[in-house]
Amino acid sequence: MSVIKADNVRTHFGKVRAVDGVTLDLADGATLGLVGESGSGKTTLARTLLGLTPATSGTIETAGVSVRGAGRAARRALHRDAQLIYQDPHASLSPRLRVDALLTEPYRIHKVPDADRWSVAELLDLVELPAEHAGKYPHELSGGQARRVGIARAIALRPRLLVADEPTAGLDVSAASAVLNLLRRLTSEIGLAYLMVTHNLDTVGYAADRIAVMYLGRIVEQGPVADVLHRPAHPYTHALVRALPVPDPAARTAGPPVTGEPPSPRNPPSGCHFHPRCPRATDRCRTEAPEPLDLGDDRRAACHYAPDHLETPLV
Amino acid sequence: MPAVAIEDLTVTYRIDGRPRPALHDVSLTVGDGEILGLVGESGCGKSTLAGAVLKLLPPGGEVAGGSVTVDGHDVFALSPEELRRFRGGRAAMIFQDPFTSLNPSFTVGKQIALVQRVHDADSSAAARRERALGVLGEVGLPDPATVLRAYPYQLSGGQRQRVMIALALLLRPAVLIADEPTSALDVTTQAQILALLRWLRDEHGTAILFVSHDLGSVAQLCDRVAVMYAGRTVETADVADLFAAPQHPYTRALLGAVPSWRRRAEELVTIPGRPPSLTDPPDGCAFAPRCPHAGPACASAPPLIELAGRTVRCVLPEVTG
Repeated sequence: MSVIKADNVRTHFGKVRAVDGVTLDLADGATLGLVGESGSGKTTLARTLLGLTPATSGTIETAGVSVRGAGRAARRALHRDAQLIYQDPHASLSPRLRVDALLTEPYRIHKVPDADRWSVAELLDLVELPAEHAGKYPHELSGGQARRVGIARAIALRPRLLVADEPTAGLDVSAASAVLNLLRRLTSEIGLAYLMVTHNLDTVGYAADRIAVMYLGRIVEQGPVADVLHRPAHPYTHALVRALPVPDPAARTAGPPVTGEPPSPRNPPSGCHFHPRCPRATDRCRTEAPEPLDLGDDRRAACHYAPDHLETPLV
Repeated sequence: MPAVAIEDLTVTYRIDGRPRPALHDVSLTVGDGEILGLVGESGCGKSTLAGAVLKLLPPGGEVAGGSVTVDGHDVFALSPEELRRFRGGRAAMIFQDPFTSLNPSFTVGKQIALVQRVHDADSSAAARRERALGVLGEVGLPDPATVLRAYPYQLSGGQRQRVMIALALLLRPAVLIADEPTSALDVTTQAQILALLRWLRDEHGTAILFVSHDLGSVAQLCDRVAVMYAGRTVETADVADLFAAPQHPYTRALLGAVPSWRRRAEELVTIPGRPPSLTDPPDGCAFAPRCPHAGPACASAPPLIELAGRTVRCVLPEVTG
């Protein structure tokens, strides 16, 4: 069963094509990392999939709900079964509620019968917070602790899908690693499907089974994370992998893999959006927008030359 | 003589009316043309240390002891006028968010001209403009004449950071202090800025103090690394030694906590607890409450041990031999 089934989804804001023809599938219990640089449309796509930002066209089915044109009851079910963890944990927790109230609020909103509720202590235990945090206010929590409360709130309703937008943004290395470990353990123990939205390829490579790489509103490559990162079929994916600063002084990169910065989504380049920065661009790339090609082994890439790149790895 | 010599530097912040040390007796040098990475988590004092090198401390911050010598100048002994010429002249600084460090209401050209008015008053207007165009081109901005007329909001994050580096370059400083210069940038842009900093050192011999929480960038760029924890350096070593064989338990934990797609199967190392607060520092080793190896010996302040070209502030290397 798919928890997300999106077909040719577009989300346009006036002239800005933030999401421009995305087709995506996430199976129940699977984890997908959605990666892109700022302005790639990854956050807009995640919000569109959850029905928080209306799509301009296409079909979306999330957690069994047809998102576009869903009625009140269907939206309520969607907002129960698909949960979003926000980027800034302090901004997403009401400063006036104590942690115990924050954790039981979802139950009150969705009128969950007592038998189906986790206790506050159980929820705190799930996210590895000591029980005495129940009496604290958000301002008394560190960034990592607030993030855990946000995660506990999201899983309280036992959703089918968890969406996390930059779950470790703003956290120190040690707090970030604890949150990543926690999310990895929870999603596998509870059998949650998990969509992680991030700019950090290493986080996705660590946390997800599958990866989807976005560039200017389009998914340029998707597939099993290890296969895609070890042997990218799209030159943009390859550039992202090469640009990652490896924490190993013995493996220094020769120089930046690409020049320039992503162009404005207001005025995207013709043909393949990546062609002005692509070292391999041909005349065809300048005029003809590549359709996602099925490469087998559960992989797709939107590059005219993707099959060649699988045969002769990009260097 | 090293480009930067920090000796027994102690800096305090006034909290609830009492001075609390944010840096304790820090000694560190940045050699001529060396890139030193300064690593640590938030609150460890790395930005305080970076600021202190230019005598730039936030309100409430005070130098309580020690000295900083930059390019032969005793920074804390400079008069206000000398300090003004020294900052941006012999030593320059770039920050994490170039948008907040550029003045939004002046064009790039105007901001460069302001720097030149202080530091390069004798040159002709034409020579100054020539020089401005020169540095903008040097830092890889494709169309310097257009950038000169642009306001900061018209530039991307990467372009703004290039402008900041151009401003820093203008006077050929001996030392560049870079406080998280790539943290707000996308990964492809980050790679470009790291390459630009390396070029700056290779081409002009500029010594760089590179402050970062990102161990990947440090491994890619730096010659030597100092790891800070709770206001002290806990380990300094050549970059290759530090990453290959970290000695301090904190350094080891930090390196193991970084996720990598190349090590998918491994569980990440986590560090229990939080760094000590400024107002309630523990006795003895500040890391002991979170350290998996802590023992009775850690209750007293650990000595700074010198091992072949590196320093470690821990009793452990002695214990384990």
